[in-house]
Amino acid sequence: MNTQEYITSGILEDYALGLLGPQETKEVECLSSIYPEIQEHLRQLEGALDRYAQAKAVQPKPELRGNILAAIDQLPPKRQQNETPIVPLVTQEAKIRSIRPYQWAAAASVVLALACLALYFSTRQTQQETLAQLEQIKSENEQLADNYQAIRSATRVELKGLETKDPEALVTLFWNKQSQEVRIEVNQLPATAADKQYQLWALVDGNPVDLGVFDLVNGLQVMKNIPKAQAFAITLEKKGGSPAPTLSEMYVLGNV
Amino acid sequence: MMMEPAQSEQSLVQALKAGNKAAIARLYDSYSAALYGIISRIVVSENLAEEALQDTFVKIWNNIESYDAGKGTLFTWMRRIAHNTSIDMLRQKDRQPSGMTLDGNEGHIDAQFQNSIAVDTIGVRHLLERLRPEYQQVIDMLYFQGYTQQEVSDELSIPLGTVKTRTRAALNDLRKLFATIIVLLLILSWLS
Repeated sequence: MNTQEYITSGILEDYALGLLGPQETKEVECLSSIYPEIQEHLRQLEGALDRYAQAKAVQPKPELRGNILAAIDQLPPKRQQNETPIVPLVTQEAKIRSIRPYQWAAAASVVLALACLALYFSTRQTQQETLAQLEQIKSENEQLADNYQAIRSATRVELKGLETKDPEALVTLFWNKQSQEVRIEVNQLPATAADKQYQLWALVDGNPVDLGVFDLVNGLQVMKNIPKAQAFAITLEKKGGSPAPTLSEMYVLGNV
Repeated sequence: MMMEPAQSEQSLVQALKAGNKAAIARLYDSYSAALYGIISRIVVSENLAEEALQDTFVKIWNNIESYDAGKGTLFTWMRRIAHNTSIDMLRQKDRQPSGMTLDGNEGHIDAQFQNSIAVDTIGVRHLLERLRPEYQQVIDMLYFQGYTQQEVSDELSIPLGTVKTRTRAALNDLRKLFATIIVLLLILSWLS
């Protein structure tokens, strides 16, 4: 990892002020134990804050001293450690074994370093995932705002199902006459075979004009622009569309 | 009060770890004012602040085994205990951070504060005047008054990003200021 970047990220300042959550606190303590340059910077920050706190000292009331020392005096005495030091018997076997603690220490420090880095990267990953989600939400939001702007001033045309096909079929079309943009929302259309696609047409002075093919998906779909139209219709065509509509395969129709 | 020399700090820690009760009196004399400075800014009520100071020393006494000199100075460790104890006390008593109820108490704190200036801190106090006021304000709110960065942002009506930038810049300036004074003290001690 790039320790310089970590130092300048500001996380050490947050740590020194006690502003981090438990995971990041652990991360800082872990990383500073394996990277001397991180530890050095952290010590300088803490030293600065130490002196700042000392410069802002406030003398407590003198009588408090006796009370606090008395309270500590009443605490049960601590269990003394190493009261009787155990002198190890130095034998040949012990000498051989005495190498082992170093090996353990070396292995333990490798494990610690790996654990620190794992912690660091998992925190970063969570942050990056959150950022990626945020980006996705942003772009969806922009898309929504775009759609909203486009249809706010658009003419709304309902394309209704023909009796010959599916009378329940319904497609809502938004046509912005100024920008010429056309968007459709499929409310209800029969599912298609894999080699077929629906195609949108504008009827301009009696002639059909291709506005593109589309699939059955949720939400608004942007079609080709058209400056002028009296009606819109949708036919089922071969995949990729046809140059002219197959009138017997017309599903919906709506007048402007 | 300046930092204890490393040597005597080490022997103090050893005595504390050995359960020597005379050592806690030495510790109290050396650090109670600095710790109480932190506590009394976070917990404004005098009774509670005194209670928090006692809790802090009891915790220091009970947990001294867990202090690791390799991870930082004794004072860093102790002021963290004082800070956490004060914040816990605020939360327990369901009180607001002191900054929100500071009106009227400021004079009281400052009076105490002025009384407590030891001769050897005057140099440091002068140095602090060189820290930009808006930096001091952010550090004081975050560290001494128990605010979160979001609360500082709301209280001062500045964006959260600015609070973060100021926090970092303030601590780094502080770090550099103290690095400067250490160099100056060294030069002075060579000259004399």
